[in-house]
Amino acid sequence: MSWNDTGGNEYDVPLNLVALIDVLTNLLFFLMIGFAAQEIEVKNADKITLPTSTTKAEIELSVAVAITADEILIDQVPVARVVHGAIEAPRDGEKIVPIYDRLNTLRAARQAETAGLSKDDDVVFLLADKDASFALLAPVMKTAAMAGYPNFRFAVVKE
Amino acid sequence: MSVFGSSGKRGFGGGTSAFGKEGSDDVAVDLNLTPLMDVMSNILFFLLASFGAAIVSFVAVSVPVQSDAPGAAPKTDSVMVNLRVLPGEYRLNVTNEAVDREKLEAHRGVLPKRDGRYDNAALHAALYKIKLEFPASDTLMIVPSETTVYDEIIQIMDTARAHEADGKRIRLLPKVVVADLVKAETAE
Repeated sequence: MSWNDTGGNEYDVPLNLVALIDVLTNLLFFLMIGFAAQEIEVKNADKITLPTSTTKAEIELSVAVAITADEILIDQVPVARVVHGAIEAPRDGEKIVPIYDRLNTLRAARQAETAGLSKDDDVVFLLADKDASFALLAPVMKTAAMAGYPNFRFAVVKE
Repeated sequence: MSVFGSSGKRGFGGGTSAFGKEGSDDVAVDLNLTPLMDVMSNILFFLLASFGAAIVSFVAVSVPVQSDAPGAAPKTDSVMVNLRVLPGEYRLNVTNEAVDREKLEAHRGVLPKRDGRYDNAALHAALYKIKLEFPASDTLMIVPSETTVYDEIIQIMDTARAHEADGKRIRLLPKVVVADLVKAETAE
């Protein structure tokens, strides 16, 4: 039985979907924007299992350093290899040279863009596997501090 | 003549077009929005599903840096809380030159692992006790060992962030400094 087939008379039941589509379009738009912003930060996270945390902080953009089981990436560019839990890269004392150089380059580029020191110019967004040892994290953090990034945002997944 | 025609549906008037013979009452433009709704609902569903699955956030940390600037005069209502993370235990220590040594000694202690896991509940209780006696304290210095993993550092920071009781939330030590004393670990 169809909608129109009631008693032989024709009944038009016009359902106005336009308003509903408006709402859906708006929702879709904001979700896609939010999703894109998240994706910027977690591009390197596919090889990394982030730890969970009770933090409620909203994500903020800064230079992203990812420590995976195989390599270290800065803003998605590989700069050093990780072999058996140790970083394989030239060193100058405690400084890991390619990480230091890359961070310095990025810092100079950011400062040129912002015409001076801005809020996030000394912050590294650090992505590391939850099982990464501090022996692996420490030299990267120390090198970053030497390059002018003494502040870190440790990436986590909200509980 | 009404633009809606006798059927009440919108039509075009005059001439002939791809929509039919204009001016007649037979032409109606009904845009079927149902497939569009279907597509949008599906996209919305998958976006919502994936958005909720991986909300990435951060916890702020810093490392100690050498400074030539003179330090602020120590206050008697705050202490520096140091936590050494050794393979089998936490070692808690508080320092402040302006506070009686006896008062500080009361907050020093060793928190051994329980069932193979660090005792974060005991750590939380100890930090809360420190916060009650030294309410201006806001910084925790974590000194991990070589074997400490990233997840354990995050759990310590979660433990030290706040204390919740009776619906109230008290900030404990939200500022965290991760220090590297790896080489000095064996020294007592």
